[in-house]
Amino acid sequence: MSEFIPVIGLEIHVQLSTKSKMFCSCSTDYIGARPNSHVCPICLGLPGSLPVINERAIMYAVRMALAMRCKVNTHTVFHRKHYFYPDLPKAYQISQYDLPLAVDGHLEVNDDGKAHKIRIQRLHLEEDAGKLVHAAIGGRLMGADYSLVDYNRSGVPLMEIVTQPDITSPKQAREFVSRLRQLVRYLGVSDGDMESGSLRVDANISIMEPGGKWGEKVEVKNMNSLKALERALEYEYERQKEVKSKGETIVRETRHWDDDSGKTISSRSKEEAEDYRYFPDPDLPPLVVDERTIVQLCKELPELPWEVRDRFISDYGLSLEEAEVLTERRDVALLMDDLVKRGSPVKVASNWIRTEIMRVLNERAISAEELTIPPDEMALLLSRVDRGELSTTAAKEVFAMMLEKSLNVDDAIKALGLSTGKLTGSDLEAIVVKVLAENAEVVEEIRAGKDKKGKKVKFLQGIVMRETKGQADPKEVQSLIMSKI
Amino acid sequence: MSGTSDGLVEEIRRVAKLAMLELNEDEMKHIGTQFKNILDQLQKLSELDTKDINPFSLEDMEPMPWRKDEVVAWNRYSEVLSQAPVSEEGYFKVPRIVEGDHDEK
Amino acid sequence: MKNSEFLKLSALELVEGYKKGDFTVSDVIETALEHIEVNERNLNALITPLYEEARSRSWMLDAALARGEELGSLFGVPVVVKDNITVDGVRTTCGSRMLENWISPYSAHVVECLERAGAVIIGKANMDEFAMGSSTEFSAFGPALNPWDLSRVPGGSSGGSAASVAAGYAPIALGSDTGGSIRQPAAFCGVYGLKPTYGLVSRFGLIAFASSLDQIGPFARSLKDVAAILQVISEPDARDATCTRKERPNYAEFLNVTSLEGFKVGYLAGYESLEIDDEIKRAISQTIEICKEAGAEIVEVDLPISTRYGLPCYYTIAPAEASSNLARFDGVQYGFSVVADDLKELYLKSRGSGFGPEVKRRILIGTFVLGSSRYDAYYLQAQKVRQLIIREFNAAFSKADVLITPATPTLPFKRGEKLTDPVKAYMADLFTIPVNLAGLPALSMRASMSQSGLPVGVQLIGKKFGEGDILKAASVIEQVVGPAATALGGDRK
Ligand SMILES: [Mg+2]
Ligand SMILES: [Zn+2]
Repeated sequence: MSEFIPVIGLEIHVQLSTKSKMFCSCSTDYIGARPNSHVCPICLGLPGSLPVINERAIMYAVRMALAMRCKVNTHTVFHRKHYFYPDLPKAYQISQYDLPLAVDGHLEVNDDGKAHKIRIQRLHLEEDAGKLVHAAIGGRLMGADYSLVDYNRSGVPLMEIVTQPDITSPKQAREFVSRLRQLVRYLGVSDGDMESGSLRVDANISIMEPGGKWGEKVEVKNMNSLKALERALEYEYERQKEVKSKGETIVRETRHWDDDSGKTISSRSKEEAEDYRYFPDPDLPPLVVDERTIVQLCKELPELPWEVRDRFISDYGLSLEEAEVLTERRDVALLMDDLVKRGSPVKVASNWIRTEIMRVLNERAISAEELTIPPDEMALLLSRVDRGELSTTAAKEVFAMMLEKSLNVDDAIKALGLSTGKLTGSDLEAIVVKVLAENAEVVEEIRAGKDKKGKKVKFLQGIVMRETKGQADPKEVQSLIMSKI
Repeated sequence: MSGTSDGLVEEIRRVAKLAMLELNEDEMKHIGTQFKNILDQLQKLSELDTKDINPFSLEDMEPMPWRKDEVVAWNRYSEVLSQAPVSEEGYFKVPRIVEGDHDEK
Repeated sequence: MKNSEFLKLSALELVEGYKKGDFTVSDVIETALEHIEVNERNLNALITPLYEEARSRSWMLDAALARGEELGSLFGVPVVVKDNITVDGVRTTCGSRMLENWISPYSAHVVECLERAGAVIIGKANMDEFAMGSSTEFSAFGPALNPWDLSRVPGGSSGGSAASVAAGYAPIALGSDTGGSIRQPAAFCGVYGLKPTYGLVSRFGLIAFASSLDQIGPFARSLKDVAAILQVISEPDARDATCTRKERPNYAEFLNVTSLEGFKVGYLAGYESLEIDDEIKRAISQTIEICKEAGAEIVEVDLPISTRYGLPCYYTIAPAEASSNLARFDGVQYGFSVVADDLKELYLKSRGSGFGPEVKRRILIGTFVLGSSRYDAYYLQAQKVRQLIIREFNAAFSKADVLITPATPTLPFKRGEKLTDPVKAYMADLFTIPVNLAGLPALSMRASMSQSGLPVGVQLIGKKFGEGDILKAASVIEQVVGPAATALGGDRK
């Protein structure tokens, strides 16, 4: 069977996490708020009101553009995009058109271990629309007797990012969005949450025939998670292949993903393309972001996730997988650096963060900075684990106690009735003798001088430590083993 | 000017639809004639050679001022809602949306 | 002093009178309100008189006066505000059925400034619907009339504001000027009308017609009042991104001149052969003569592109911006709305019935020229021509400090005269429009009275932020022709 290759481009709207809206001073903190309570004459589009741009929105967008290696335009213009719809109070959206804030960047994604560059066509700023509620089935408004409008979201700053059609599989699209989401979170410009609509993805997908002929482009909307995005594109890819294989033509249209049925549904295509009547907004003079500001923002850019990942591999000797997990979140990556700096051995820190610490962070939905254990105490705990002063099991209990009661390591150990090096003298000797007897062959090999690297002694030492539940001094254990052999 | 061409009438209908303006037959007739005269006047602009002109020259224009990202709550929102033609439970209310009106965002 | 004399006093004379204790704010306001009540039956200069609000504010101000509080520069001065400028808690109609019952929940920047200065807003002035028109006949609240001759129009679109000042309702008023909407009615009503430089006065709270052209400006019967009110309303405002951060001069200082030595006054080459009223031509040459006598150097300037292409340029850009600005009136959140079965019907019917014919016409033109297939040929070309007009003015101002031109081609016309042919009606703005396109300041003032007893106006154009130059030249002219007069009921002068 001949191969059709999917050609995918994404259009991503990201809500910027500014405190106030794009062109007015209303709060952006509208989730769960009473409808139409976070509004003012400006974001309601009342007659006579005028927009004034939010400085932080510009800074955030430039920061993002620089992180994706885009060219930032020093002089850009805001246009008005016109259409009549109840969620748009002025009947036009202030957006950028032929002079976007930034162009020509890229973002690298990992596809089955291979790096793949997705080019960014443009990045621009615009304002969000209000929200229509009381919808009919399937999240669509068609069919409802009436709709209710809430303007709390109206005017929240959006950053729109458009990729080139460089994405070649649904999985890659998912990877891309996941990468992008990681980046906005690293840069602190958005919470990047797809479920709540902070990050919204529209996808354009067409299929390329074996001969290299492009099919008609279909726009897919309404995917509210990474999984939905991948599923929708997979469905659409299969659907288009099927249409083609039947010898039919693909219709250029917009389709909505319906998560319940797992299908994309056609929005009835309009007779003619909408004419948005773009023109420069006369209420807003040109936006000038001078070179100095750009250079400054470039300097202030934090270490990017893939840069941290590569450093963890080269400096800490971690595997790619380990490094990926540790750098998924910036707070976690920072914790890793912090613990190592405070003397935690790399391996132990990496293991502990990826298991115990991440579990707690996820369970409590907190950031690493919000962890109640001071980094110094955490580092101390991990060092004791490394030195064998605490078994992993015991350390986990200590960790839980520290977390629960806000205790330091020593107090937690005391509270649990544990203590390092408690098992000693004849008690310890008895255990050593027992272990040596149970591992007579190993003892023989050591005696025969076959343990040049000391690995076998370490092996025995490990068993003894386990037997003592980590309550013996590893040095004493080692010298006891040596004396018995 | 009585002879408004069919093409122009079509054009006015298209523009009126785009601008969401209902025009009755009387208005169509009236505006039709005037529309042509006005467009003829506007056409005069093409006489000027403007090849090298930047239409949005930034010369002696002050750049856009920026606002600090600070929240100032506006507490008069209920007054706005009370003036809404139709509202319900704190929302503005609009009638049924017919397919193809606009793709919801 | 007879109470009716209050109506003839200037704003600054009123403030002086309060300070000296000659009369109280409530005396003056009461007189003004009575005068309005009697004359409104004829003039229809106001859409919403604010009797109650003005009265209670006057008592408040008298109390402040009695307590010896510091007085603002327009303390107790009655002022009329065009009805496209929002006043908190007051309906703001824009002369349209669309906003017939809309109460603004906030005040325009200029209104806040006036109130801080102690002024008393006594009414919202009649106007052409959404400021589109030159006669105030396109008002959904009936036409306003010219107090000098009730068979004639007061001009427009700020006709109600101009008529109010001429008729003695108030010594000062606010209007807005997009293509001559302050200067043309000022000329028709024989009062001062200043359109400031684009960006000098905040547009926050001015219901937009064409955002890149609109400016709020004052009407008054004396130049001192013009300077005083300009000082008040030009306070910088961060809520309008197009409002300049430049420092404002003390405008009153420009009025203390008797000589124009070293000053250059330009006039339009060949104005004598233009299709304009002879009495206007005569007024121009008299005005130039006054400047010359005062020591000004008189130079000839040429504005061929502005004169020939200003109108089509304006009638492309202004409707384009208007079609966008007026898109928000859709019957969903506020204003005129019909009961409809579906959303599209709501839009079509609300807008179709809420707007009057002139507004609809301009929205259609604007929608047309912004259409993706027309944009380059119409809108973009007009923006380029606008740049040529700016250049042309720059060249003219390299030769002159102030230009003197007609304000209008004709004297106030009869009611109904220009209603039928829009292209002809648009011609009324021939001399005022290029000024808006170039963003310049210009003052319209009465230069003489015609044989038939109608005011004859001229226009003084300054360079960007050259309001001071205009005031300087105008003050020399005022010293000769005298301040503007009131056209009070029976005793029209
Ligand atoms: Mg967008
Ligand atoms: Zn707001």
